Amino acid sequence: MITDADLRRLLGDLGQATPLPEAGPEAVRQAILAAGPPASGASDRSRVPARAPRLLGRRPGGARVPGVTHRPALLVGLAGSGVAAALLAAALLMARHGTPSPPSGGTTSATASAPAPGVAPGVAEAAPGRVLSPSGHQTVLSPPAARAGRDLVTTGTAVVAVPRDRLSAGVARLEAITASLGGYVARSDVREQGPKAGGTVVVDVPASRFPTLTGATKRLGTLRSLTTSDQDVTGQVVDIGARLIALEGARSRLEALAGRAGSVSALLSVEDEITATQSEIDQLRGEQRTLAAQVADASLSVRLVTPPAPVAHPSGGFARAWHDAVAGFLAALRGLVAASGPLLFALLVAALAGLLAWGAGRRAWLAIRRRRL
Amino acid sequence: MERPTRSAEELEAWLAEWYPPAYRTACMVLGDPAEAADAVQDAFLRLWRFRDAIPEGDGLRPWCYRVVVNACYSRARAEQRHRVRRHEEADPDHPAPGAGPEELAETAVRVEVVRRALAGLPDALRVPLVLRYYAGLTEREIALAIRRRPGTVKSRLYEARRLLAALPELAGLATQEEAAP
Repeated sequence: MITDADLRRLLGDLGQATPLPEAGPEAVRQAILAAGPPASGASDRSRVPARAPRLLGRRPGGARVPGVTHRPALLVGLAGSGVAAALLAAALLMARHGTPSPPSGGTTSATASAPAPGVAPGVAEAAPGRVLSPSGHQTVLSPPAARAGRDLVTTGTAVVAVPRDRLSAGVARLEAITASLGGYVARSDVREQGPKAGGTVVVDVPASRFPTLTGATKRLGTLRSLTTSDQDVTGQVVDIGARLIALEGARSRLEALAGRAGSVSALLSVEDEITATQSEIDQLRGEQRTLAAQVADASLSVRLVTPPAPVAHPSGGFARAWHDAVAGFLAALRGLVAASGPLLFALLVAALAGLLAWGAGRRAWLAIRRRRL
Repeated sequence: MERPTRSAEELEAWLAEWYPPAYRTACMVLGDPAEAADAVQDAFLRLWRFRDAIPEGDGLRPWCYRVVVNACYSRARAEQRHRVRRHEEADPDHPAPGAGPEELAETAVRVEVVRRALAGLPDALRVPLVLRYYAGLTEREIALAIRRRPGTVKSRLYEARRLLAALPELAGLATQEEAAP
């Protein structure tokens, strides 16, 4: 039986035995000082309403107020931000169609930085390829590797026949070509020995070097087939960017709302909304990074095939005679099976003709007997 | 615990008082010291930003722990990975006062047993257990912190105690203490 006192003691020991990180408090202090003064309105408590939780549909302690619509004010705010985001997305799409982005290598990381202390949001100018949100955060709209104003995910599949004794050299050459183009081998599944020698190597290179890669792949051996495709993800990129701007705006409004909360329970509710919004922002940023990486790098799947290994024949003597006998037997059997088809058909036709003739003959004989009787 | 003011000079005192319990609570919740440090930093930034909006008195502690717990959940969701429970040794630089070598070894074993037992609990049971028996919150304060009814908190604490009592190694620790003079 474990008592409350036991649990307090055991967890207290665990806490005491947990060492604090050396730079933990200092890192927090630096982060706090770098964040600057709190959001405006946080200190003006004279405007705080007396019973803020009702607006959010929650009683103190977290119980839902029956009959009260959940988060009405937040829904209105988010709907408004959604309309603004849609208008912004339309404007951005129109701007992007007429403005080709310069190609450049490398991947993009979507980072948002708070405005420097003393600088009002919206005053700072957004960097090229980014948009300044109302809260002052910068959001990446499109990765730098977009071509002709579009964000394209390029993939390709090639089938190359190489001699069996040059398979490993071919794989090494493909890997060297990839490295020279600034890419990497994403996956390699090649069997260099045995009757099924061959395999698939998937390589990723910067999108701008993809034509060079396909050209070099053709020279690995005999090109059997090459297919490439460009998937346009411009709409997805712009949509994610617009949604991030809207969510960051909503988070800023929630933080301002938290500064005006009049009670602990109201603040707790807003805190949960901030957490949920931040989770969505983190998820969208992850999707944005993934898309940016897919656009920046093009992927080519190279399937290397080898001709079948020749069958070794015995040189002479009894082994050669036996081999010839087995080969002849198999050939005759193959011929018999091949000929059985027409033979069976002829037998079937003859059987049908015979049956018809027998039927006609029997009827004629019965007719003759009746006449005699 | 005092509410921190705008004064930067009082920031040090506030961190010195509040950081250790917040960090250790996050460690028990997440099971990963690195993740706990990041979560606590996020939580402190938020605490500092809205410190003037928090009333004094009973509402401060549950609100602070709620921010810490929410930050822990955000870290866990953002990383989306299985939490690796790192079994750190007891810090030899922080021994129990007046403890000899044998007592230190027993403490290290006991700490490891408790850490493993906590890691085996579901999140929904671990968090109220830590807030109750480490942070010292009442059931009503825990309800505010994790946004559940007090009755739910009570039932989760009961379930957590029942699961821990079923562990023979943990029951043995309690038995040893009761048997010790």
